[in-house]
Amino acid sequence: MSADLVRVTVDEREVHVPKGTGIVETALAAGIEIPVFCYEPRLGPPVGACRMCLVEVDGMPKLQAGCTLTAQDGMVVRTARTSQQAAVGQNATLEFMLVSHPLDCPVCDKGGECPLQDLTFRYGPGNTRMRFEKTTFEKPITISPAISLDRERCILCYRCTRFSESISEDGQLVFANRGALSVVTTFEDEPYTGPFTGNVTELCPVGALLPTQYRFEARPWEIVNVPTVCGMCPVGCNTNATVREGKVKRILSRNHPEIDEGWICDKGRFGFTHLRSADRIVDPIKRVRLRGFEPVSWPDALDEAERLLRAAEGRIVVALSGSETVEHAYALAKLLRRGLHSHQATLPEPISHALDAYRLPLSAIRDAQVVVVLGDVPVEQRAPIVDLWIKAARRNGAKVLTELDEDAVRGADRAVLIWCGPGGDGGARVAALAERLGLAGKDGCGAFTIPATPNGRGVADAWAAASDEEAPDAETIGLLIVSGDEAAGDPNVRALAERAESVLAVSMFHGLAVGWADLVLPGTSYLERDGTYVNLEGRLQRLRRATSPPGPDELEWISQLASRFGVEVAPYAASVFAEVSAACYGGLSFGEVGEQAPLRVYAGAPAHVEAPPAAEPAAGGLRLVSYKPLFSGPAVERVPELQFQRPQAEVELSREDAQARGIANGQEVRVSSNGTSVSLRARVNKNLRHGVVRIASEHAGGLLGNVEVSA
Amino acid sequence: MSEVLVLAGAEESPLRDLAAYREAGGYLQLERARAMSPQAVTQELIESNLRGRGGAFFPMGRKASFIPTPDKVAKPIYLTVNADESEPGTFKDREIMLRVPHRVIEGCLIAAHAIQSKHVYIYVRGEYLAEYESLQAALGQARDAGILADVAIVIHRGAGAYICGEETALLESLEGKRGQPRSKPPFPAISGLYASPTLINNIETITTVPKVLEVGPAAYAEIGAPPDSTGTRVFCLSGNVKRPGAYELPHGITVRHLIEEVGGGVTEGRTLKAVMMGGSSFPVMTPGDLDTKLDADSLGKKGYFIGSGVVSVVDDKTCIVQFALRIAQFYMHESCGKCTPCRVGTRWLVQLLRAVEAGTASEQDLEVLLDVCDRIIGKCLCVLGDSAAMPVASCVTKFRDEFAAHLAQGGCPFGHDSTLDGLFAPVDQHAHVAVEV
Repeated sequence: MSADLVRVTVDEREVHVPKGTGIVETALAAGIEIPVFCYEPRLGPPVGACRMCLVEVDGMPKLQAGCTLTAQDGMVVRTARTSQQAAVGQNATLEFMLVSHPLDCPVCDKGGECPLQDLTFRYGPGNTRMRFEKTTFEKPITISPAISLDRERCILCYRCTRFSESISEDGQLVFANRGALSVVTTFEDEPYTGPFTGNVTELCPVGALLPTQYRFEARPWEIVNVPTVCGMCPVGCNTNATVREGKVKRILSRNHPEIDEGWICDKGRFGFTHLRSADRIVDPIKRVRLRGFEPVSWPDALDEAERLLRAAEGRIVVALSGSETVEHAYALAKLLRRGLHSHQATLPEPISHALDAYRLPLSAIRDAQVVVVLGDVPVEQRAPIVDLWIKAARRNGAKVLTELDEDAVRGADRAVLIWCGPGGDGGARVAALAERLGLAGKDGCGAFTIPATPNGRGVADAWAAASDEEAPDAETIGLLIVSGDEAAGDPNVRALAERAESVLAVSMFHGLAVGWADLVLPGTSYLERDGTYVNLEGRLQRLRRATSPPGPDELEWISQLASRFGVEVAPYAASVFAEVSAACYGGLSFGEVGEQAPLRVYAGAPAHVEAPPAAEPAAGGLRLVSYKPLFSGPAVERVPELQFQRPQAEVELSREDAQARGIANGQEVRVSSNGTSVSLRARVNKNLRHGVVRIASEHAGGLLGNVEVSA
Repeated sequence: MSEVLVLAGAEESPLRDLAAYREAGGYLQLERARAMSPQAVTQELIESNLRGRGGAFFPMGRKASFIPTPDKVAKPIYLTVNADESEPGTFKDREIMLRVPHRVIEGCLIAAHAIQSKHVYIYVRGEYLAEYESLQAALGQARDAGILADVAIVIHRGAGAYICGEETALLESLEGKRGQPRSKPPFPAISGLYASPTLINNIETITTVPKVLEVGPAAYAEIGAPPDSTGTRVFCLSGNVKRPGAYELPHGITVRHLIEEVGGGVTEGRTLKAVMMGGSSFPVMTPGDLDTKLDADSLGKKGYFIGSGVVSVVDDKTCIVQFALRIAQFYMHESCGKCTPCRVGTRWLVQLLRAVEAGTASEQDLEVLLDVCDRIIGKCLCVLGDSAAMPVASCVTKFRDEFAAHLAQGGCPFGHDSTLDGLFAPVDQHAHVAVEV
């Protein structure tokens, strides 16, 4: 027996666990379950509030809460299986919980997947002895448009408030009143706002906090949870898509301890209803001279597409979105590059393979001693879960810096660099910095760049895998293919379209491409696709189709179109992936990507990278960082429950800059540059660097470069 | 030697003036203690076997010895004094703060020296304004006189929650959080206020400290009922008794002596029915046990607790169901709501007792009542749940006939004649704030 192991007996089974292991985990090691409600190790230290985990411990007169006890050598624990006292204790806890619980399970959305139901069935009384009036509250209360609260069902386990206090650190969910009148509420009764609110609906062990979107939508026995990956940001949180009768009804987290630890953001959780948006394009749409835009059949659309492609052979440019799958991007690249000798593409963002030498799982941020976050774009707006890891690091005592302190990085055993800034060269920038600071090969040290799109790396890999040939920029653009809504919404792509003789767009929504494209083919969402994504860690992950798109998906029609040009593209993600994988991913098969993908090491990362030239120093005024907010974009715009989360019309200023200008928090200010100005509310952010102002792009108007802020 | 120690010098009128306190020997023990090593002071406290006066009766010196020395921890060490006296029937801390505020300060400073703390917080019950002002005035005088030296004493007023007398809830409240108990371990000695080593003592305990040093630990250990119940106690005699009050007497006198000799006996024309012994949190005493000595061992042998030194006389005009109901109502109102058995159980107890008092309960309800008590006791996060269930259960078992009479007669046998006059406010007084049912 190793020195740091202790011997514990649980229900006469002996186990050896590291000293200090919680008794719930110790029992689990012995194959014994101690039921819990409030206990949730991800939320920090146990609180011992619910009293579900009562066990008998030899030498202790009273029953003990298993969740707050830790393993000591020679400890003898008896659970309800072998201790009458513990069994009575657990039965008592459940009886008490049910005293005022409404028992409306048949109409409760949690019914059938409710820990309170399950544990009552196994440990609780079969009947109630309570014959008096139950505690009643007004219900349900919408604590935000996305979440409703039923206080009568609440068992006061403190999971939601602990999440709000110590994980998302927003402090918005609190308890009010005391005793039997204790209720969960939001601070000052304001709507529960922030990137992570939806997590409390999954933490809640009863039907108290529920997503409004799922209200009366499905019962557990008629749903299927499809394990997939979120495609809303470059983190690639692992999720389950709950599907009933072919429709996605809900998104749940699917804990990947290295990526998301079981937390997902509200965009990923509530954004799925964009699938059913009223302006979803379901049929191809063709521009018809004099008559405008008309839906056409798929055979006609493919004929038209073939005509457009043939007419522009060698002069085709494709604008790829970073939300395309590796397979989709590869299929399109193969068709264009091998069948039509067109090698020009605008890729979502530049990718530096140099970062592969500094790869770490996101969870390594939590264990770092120094975390340097550079670039001034708010991390939670671009990759929300990364922000939770940074917060966890800070709680663990790490230094979190927004200004580079080279000595701090060099002096730390475990240092992590994160670039989250404007411009697309973050990867090379942070890799060069990591190289200079000697992080290569040091355990627990590494670097991340936070790109703007979910699969920029995968799309770039796929484009490169399709062909080695390169072509000089054509003088004229015969055909511009706009692949995906990100590209369709990009002003640079729109500028290209002005120069193109014709435009073929693949888009999900009417508002985006119809009007300026000659042919629009219906696009699909990540929830409708099979395929793979490469996230910001460089981790290859598998998307699974949760629901069918309204028409054929991209692979299907690209495959058909490709055959007309003598290019063989399989309509199946697995086959397409095999081709890309042979070139980029070491021949890994589609099946081997895995449901909980490991972070694979890529060979061939360059040992040295040139740092891109630093941005020019600000000359007068304040440097404007205009960022794309988390709650923005075509999908979010189509989800009613997320509208209240849209960014406020405000400008963030550092404390120093606000003071220098006599600007108070909340004050109306004018932000101006180059003769244009915008009126915004000032928000003083003590964590913002001096000399920088931040504005969500949708509120930045025509502001550019350096700005001045005045009261 | 006078048996009055804690309240010495304030028998006739409060001893609030610094000069007067000094004249009575005040702050001499502090001087003596500061000349000693901290360990030596702790050792004297251990030898005196001074026990905690807040209710748990834990040896104060031993508790102080659990606090790590400053060279062992990189955090500040705190002394926290519990003056959140809120238990029905308890009013000794109030008398101490009003009458001998300087002795409180002196006790704090000696204890702070013993644990090498520079930070003292005195947490005073929110309703105690006069007491707060008395302490604050004494603190100001002591500060001006340079007595504090490098120790900071902060007097903090609570906001009206009984649970904040529970040591870890008190710490939460001091930190500005909801007053709710923490789960232990870690114990405050290791991780208390702001996650730092913290010694928490009741104000009577702290105020006894200068006197322990004055009479000497060995002599102090002889007073009262050695070996465990040493020293004197400020007993809170109240209820249906002729001369209620806070009386400082040695441990080991009998309950009967306190009621009859000191308190002048039960109110004229009444007879004693029960004694609320130790506080509202404990089993009630029946008349047969009146000759029990007021020390922890003697009481413990008969299933009673010395608690915070409460002896409250319940006379024969009192309906014991109303008595139990009033206690249950108090605990329902004061339950913090953190753990399940207390939050739910206290409310259920009130509902059951109401039904008994109204005569709508059945024999089965009495069994449920006892079982609910049983299901609370020993299963909660802190002792508040036990505090509700123990007295209620003792009322049912010891006065089963009276409960049965309520069921048989379909209501209270006292009709409207019974009130809780002289004991508690009537059961319906706070109906508007209670969680009614």
